[in-house]
Amino acid sequence: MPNQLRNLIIVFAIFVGLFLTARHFLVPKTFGDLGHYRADALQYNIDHEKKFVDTTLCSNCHTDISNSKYVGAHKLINCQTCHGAGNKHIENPTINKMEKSSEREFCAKCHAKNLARSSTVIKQVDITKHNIDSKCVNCHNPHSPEIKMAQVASNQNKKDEPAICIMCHDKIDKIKTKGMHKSVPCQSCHGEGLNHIKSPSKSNMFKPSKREFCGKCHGIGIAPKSKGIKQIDLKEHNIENKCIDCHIGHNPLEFK
Amino acid sequence: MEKENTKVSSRRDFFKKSGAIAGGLLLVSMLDPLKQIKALAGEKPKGKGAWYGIGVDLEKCIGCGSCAKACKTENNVPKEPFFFRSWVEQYSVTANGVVKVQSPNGGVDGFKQPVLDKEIEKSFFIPKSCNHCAKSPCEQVCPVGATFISPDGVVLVDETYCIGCGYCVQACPYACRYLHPVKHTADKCTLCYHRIKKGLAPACITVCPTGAKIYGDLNDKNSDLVKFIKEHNCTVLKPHLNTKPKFFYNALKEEAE
Ligand code: HEC
Ligand code: HEC
Ligand code: HEC
Ligand code: HEC
Ligand code: HEC
Ligand code: HEC
Ligand code: HEC
Ligand code: HEC
Repeated sequence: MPNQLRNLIIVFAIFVGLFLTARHFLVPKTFGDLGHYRADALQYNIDHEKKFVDTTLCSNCHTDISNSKYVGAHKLINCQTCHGAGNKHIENPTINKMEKSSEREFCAKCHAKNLARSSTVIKQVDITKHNIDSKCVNCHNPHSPEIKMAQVASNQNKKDEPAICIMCHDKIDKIKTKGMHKSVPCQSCHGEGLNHIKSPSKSNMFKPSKREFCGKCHGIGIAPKSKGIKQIDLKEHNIENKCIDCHIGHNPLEFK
Repeated sequence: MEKENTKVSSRRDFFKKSGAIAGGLLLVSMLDPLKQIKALAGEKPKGKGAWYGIGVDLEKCIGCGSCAKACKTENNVPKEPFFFRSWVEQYSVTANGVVKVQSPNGGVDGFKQPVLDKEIEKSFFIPKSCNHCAKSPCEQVCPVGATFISPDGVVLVDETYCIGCGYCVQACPYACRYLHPVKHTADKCTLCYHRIKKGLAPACITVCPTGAKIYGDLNDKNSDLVKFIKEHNCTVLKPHLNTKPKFFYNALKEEAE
């Protein structure tokens, strides 16, 4: 064999050897097992941590809400659509809070009028006109959005009971029950609100402000002297001001 | 019916050019809607097992952006308004045919109630993401084999192997990829591979309030997706590019194709 050829073969062998070693180290494990990629990359993708959990877990702890939800129009919506991913919350609910928004914009994301939305798929309201003075959740329970209105409508025979007002004004009731007026029905001060409960923004309730109004129950010589209701003399007790400049109507021994 | 015709003729053009399939097949494919879809999307090349695709009923989409939002959370997509794996666009067409497309923050915060615009004749939402093409250009251009099609038809990225050259971002005709600003690797929809392989729906589908979006196995005659495709007149985006996308839209308007 001529020298040149032998040298050439040696060089070639070294070259191939180097190539194979380099290839061994450069081409990652499992490359080519399934195609022109690392087969391990499949498992890598599968191992990604999940954030949105099974919603049946929510009902384990929030029994009341999931029950009410399943009768309302939002029954098909996943809790986490409105409250965000629940993976952290289910581990430690008091430290890891869920998202919660009672703003009008939140509901508007789905319910604001939009030409691109089919009205058979979703009922829409003009959010610049539909009861603009109030948050949606004051009239619609977010978990059963039509129920609050329907409950009110089907309970119209109870229009004289505070219960019907509390369906929408539960926050006021919470204040009232802490104070001396807890036994006084809403209607005694605001009047009965048959129209108001049907269409709250169109028909406002009476909102007492005059001294004489409180005097009906508390004025010496005006109110009947019974029931142990404390009385004051309208002509003496802080006559420069209205009663509600000092007393909070729903909790009268709290002062402004 | 008109739409059907334009679709067929554009496909026929393609067939003529490639000369691959005879006209007779076209006729057959028109009789069987599923075949038609398979011609659009490409059948699984070999073997059995799942071959995943996505479907959206645009008539049910209300453009709330829940899908776009949930996707960011589930997959740690950067919050900045220009990184998306899944997003929603609103198309508005004026009477004289001008098409406006908007996608404020990808739809994550929803769409504003539009000020009454008498010019707008029609308007619709389109949720978008990776089309998981059977012949994906992104896979073809990847110089190192970091982008690949899984055995069940999902286009994935091997993050540990990607060199961040960005060729795939350029190559994708659906603009569904971005370079991750921290990891410096290509990032895209994985059809929530980590969820579907455990039998859970992808995050975007989990949170959809109207059930507009579905996913399923195109090889399984009883899957929701195959039923959906059978029952509706579905189309794909940019069929003329022949990337064989597997993202099927019902009621897709011509302005968006
Ligand atoms: C292990 C029991 C448990 C599970 C499971 C659970 N929660 Fe909670 N959740 C709680 C408790 C307890 C609170 C009250 C926390 C507090 O106020 O400190 C709470 C509060 C909430 C709140 C109100 C937060 C606020 O700021 O007022 C929401 C919304 C909520 N949970 C939604 C969910 C959803 C959605 C799920 C399912 C993904 C879920 N929860 C699963 C126990 C649980
Ligand atoms: C359509 C959106 C929506 C869905 C779906 C939804 N919620 Fe809520 N949820 C809200 C809103 C809005 C509030 C805040 C109500 C308020 O501030 O008065 C809320 C409040 C809560 C609270 C706080 C307690 C309360 O009554 O204010 C809990 C707990 C809760 N939700 C749990 C759940 C669970 C569990 C589910 C699933 C079964 C669920 N939510 C589904 C919108 C939703
Ligand atoms: C993620 C989207 C989404 C959000 C957020 C949402 N809704 Fe809904 N809402 C729906 C869907 C879907 C329905 C059912 C559609 C239907 O049957 O009309 C519905 C139904 C309703 C209905 C019943 C309409 C009817 O008469 O049939 C009311 C009222 C309603 N929602 C109010 C609200 C309020 C108030 C909020 C905010 C607390 C809210 N929604 C948030 C999607 C949403
Ligand atoms: C003051 C009480 C009140 C407030 C606040 C309120 N609504 Fe309503 N809403 C009603 C009443 C009453 C009805 C049913 C009567 C009607 O059709 O107007 C209704 C009906 C609806 C409907 C069904 C419409 C239809 O076509 O059947 C939707 C959706 C709705 N509201 C969403 C909202 C959203 C979203 C908000 C907040 C932006 C909101 N509402 C705020 C009282 C209210
Ligand atoms: C003792 C009389 C009295 C009773 C009982 C009473 N209110 Fe009031 N309420 C008032 C007065 C006075 C105001 C005006 C407060 C002001 O302007 O500062 C008021 C104001 C309101 C307002 C306007 C919002 C606000 O907070 O200022 C609402 C809503 C209301 N009441 C609801 C109720 C409901 C619901 C009940 C029953 C649970 C109730 N009230 C019971 C005296 C009463
Ligand atoms: C269907 C829900 C609903 C019911 C039931 C309801 N309210 Fe209201 N009420 C509202 C809303 C919402 C407002 C805020 C007004 C608006 O949005 O325009 C309001 C406002 C008021 C106000 C303040 C009016 C003002 O001028 O500021 C009073 C007082 C009041 N309600 C009392 C009552 C009383 C008393 C009852 C029981 C007879 C009652 N409401 C029942 C929803 C309701
Ligand atoms: C319908 C009758 C009625 C009206 C109207 C009324 N109150 Fe009262 N008030 C009561 C009753 C009943 C009590 C509780 C008495 C008891 O339980 O000891 C009370 C208690 C009080 C107390 C606490 C007195 C004490 O026991 O220390 C104050 C202060 C008060 N009211 C102020 C007002 C003011 C201010 C108004 C006008 C906004 C008002 N009230 C309107 C019936 C009324
Ligand atoms: C300038 C503020 C102010 C005004 C205005 C005011 N009050 Fe008072 N009122 C008070 C204070 C402070 C007390 C507490 C006295 C106490 O606890 O000893 C009080 C006590 C009361 C008491 C309880 C009396 C008792 O014997 O314990 C009643 C009832 C009462 N006010 C009713 C009214 C009525 C009705 C009006 C309107 C006609 C009114 N107040 C106007 C400040 C005011």
